[in-house]
Amino acid sequence: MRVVSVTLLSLVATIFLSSALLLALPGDFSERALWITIFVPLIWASFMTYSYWDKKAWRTMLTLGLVSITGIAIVIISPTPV
Amino acid sequence: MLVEQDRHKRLYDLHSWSGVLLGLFIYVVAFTGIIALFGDELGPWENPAQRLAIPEKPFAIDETFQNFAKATQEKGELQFVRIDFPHEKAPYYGGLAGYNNASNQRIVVERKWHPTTGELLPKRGDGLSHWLLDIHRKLMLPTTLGRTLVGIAGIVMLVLIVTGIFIHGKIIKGFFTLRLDRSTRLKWQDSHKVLGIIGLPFSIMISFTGAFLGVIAILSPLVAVIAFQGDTEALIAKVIGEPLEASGESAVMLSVDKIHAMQHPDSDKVPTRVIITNYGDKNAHYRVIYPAIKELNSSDQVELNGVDGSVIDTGVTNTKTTAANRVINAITPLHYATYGDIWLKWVYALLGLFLALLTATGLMLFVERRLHGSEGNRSEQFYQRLSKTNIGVCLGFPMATVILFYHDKLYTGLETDRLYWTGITYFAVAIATTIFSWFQQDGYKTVKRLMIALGVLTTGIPLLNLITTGATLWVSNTVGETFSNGTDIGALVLGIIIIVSSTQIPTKRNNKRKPQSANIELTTLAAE
Repeated sequence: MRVVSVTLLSLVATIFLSSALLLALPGDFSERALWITIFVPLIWASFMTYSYWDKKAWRTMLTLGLVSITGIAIVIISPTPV
Repeated sequence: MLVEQDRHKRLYDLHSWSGVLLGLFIYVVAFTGIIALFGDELGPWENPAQRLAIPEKPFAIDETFQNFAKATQEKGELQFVRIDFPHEKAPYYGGLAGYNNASNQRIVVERKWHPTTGELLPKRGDGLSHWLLDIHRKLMLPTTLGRTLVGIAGIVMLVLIVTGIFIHGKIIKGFFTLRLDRSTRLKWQDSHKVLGIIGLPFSIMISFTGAFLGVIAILSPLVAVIAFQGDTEALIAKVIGEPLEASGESAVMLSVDKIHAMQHPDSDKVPTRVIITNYGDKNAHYRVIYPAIKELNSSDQVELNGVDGSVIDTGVTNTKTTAANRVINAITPLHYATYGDIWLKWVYALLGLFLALLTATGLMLFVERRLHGSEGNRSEQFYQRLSKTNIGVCLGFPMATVILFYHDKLYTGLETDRLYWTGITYFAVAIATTIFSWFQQDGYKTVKRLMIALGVLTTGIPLLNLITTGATLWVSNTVGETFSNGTDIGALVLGIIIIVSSTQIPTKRNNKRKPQSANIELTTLAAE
C-alpha cells in the first residue's frame, strides 16, 4: 500500500491539488501559477515522505486519495479562467 | 532530530530502497550536471574556430543577418529569428532561425559569423559540449520526457534528503565522525553521512531547482489538460501574456547593429541577444536581452517594436518584478551557477561531486550491509552483481565523458553525423566499463584500475588539444583561448587528482576492527 502511495497517489494528489489551488485561490492568475509551480516539487516530495511517515499504511492512501478527490471536485466546480 | 523507532524504520526503508532503485540514475544526473556547468567554457576547446577575441569595433552584421533571416523565411513559415552578439562566453556573432516546413515540422537553422570580418565560421556539427549539456538537461530524449525524468531525479533526491535528515538525526555529531581506519561498513557509513552533511544546503538547493526545471515541462501540459481542457496555449497566454499578432503588412526591420549599440536602461551594458518574432512585419517584436544587472537573475529584457524601435509594454509577466518572478528568475542561475564567475562554477563542481559521491557511497553502503551484514534476504551473488554494477556505472560515465574529448578531436566522419557518433561513443564506453566491472573478481582492484585509466586519460586531454589544434597552455591572447586553456588546465589538475586518489584505494577489503573500540562500533551499528 505504501508503495502505491509513494509512486502513484503522491503524484496524482500533487497534480490535482495544484490544479485546484490554481483555480480556487484568489489573486492574480499568473502570480498564482508561478507560486504553485514553485511549490509543486515540495508538495510532491512531502506527499512521498508522508507515505512512509504515517504509522498506518491505509491512512496514507486514504489521505492522499481524499486530497485528490477534493482537488478533482474543486476543478469541476470552478469555472475555467478566461 | 530524533523520530520514534517505527517511523525511523519506515523512513530508513524509503531512504534505502528509493536510493538503491534510483541511486544510479541520480548519480548519472548529478555527475552529468557537474560537466554541464562548463558547457560555455567547453565550446572554444571543442571548436578552434571559436577561440576568438571580442573586438573593440565589431563588424556591422545587420545586412548579413537580414539576408540570413530572409533566406530562412523563404524556406517556410518563420517562427522566430535570433542574433547573438559577440560576448565573453561566445565571442562571435550567432544566428538562429526556426521555421515550420511544409509538413509543419520545426526546423532550426544556425549560423556563426566572425566578429571582425563577418565571414561565416567553419561549420561544425554539434558534439561534445552539446551532448554533455543535453544529457544532463533531458537525457537526449524528447524534451518533455527527458526533462520530466531529470525532474523526477530531483524530487527523489529531495525525498532522500528529507528522509536522510530524519533517520540520521545527529547532524552535528555526524559532521565530526569519519572513521576511515575502522571496518569497511563504518567507512562507507561515515563517508556517506559526512558528505551528506557538508553538502546539505547545496544538495537541497540543486535538487529543488533541478526538480523545478524538470517538472515544469510536464506540469504545464497536465494543468492545461485539467484546468484549461487541454488548451496549453491558453494557459501560457494567461500566465505570460498574449503574443503580438502579425499585421500582415510588410515593413523594413530595425538594424540589429543599432540594437547592439543600445545600452541597458540602468547600466552601460550592451545587449547579448535579440529574439525577433513576426520578422518582416509591421508588428515585428524585438526582445532585447541584456546581462542581468541584479544578482540571481537570468537576464534583463527590453521589448521593442522591430520597425520603429518604440518600447512595447506587452504585459509579459517575466519582465515584471514580483516576488514570484524574482524566485523563478533565480532558479536557472542558481542551478547552473551563472550568477558568479568561473570560481563559483568550480565550487559548484566540487559540491556536485560530493552529491555524486554521496549517492555512490549510499549504494556501496546498501550492498555492504547486505553482503557482509545481517540485512537483506537475496543471495550473495545478487549483491556481488549489484556491487559490480555500481562500480561499473559510477566509473563508466566519467570514463565515457573523458573519452568524448578524444572522440571530438579524432572524429573524421561527416559533421552532420557528429552528434550521433558522440552518443554512440558515450554509451558504448559507459556500457563497456560496466561489463568490464562485471567480469572482474575484486571490486577494489577494479576501482583502482579504472581510476588509473580515467586519471591518465584526463591528464592527456591538454596533450590531445596540443597535437590536434596546436593550443598551448602558456599562450592565451583571446577570451576563446582562455576558455580552451582553462579546460586543459582543469583536465590536467583533475587527472592528477584522480591518479593520486587511485593510489589511496586499498587493493582488498579491510575487515580490521580495533579491539578496544569494538563495543562502541557495535553500539553504533545497533543504533543504525
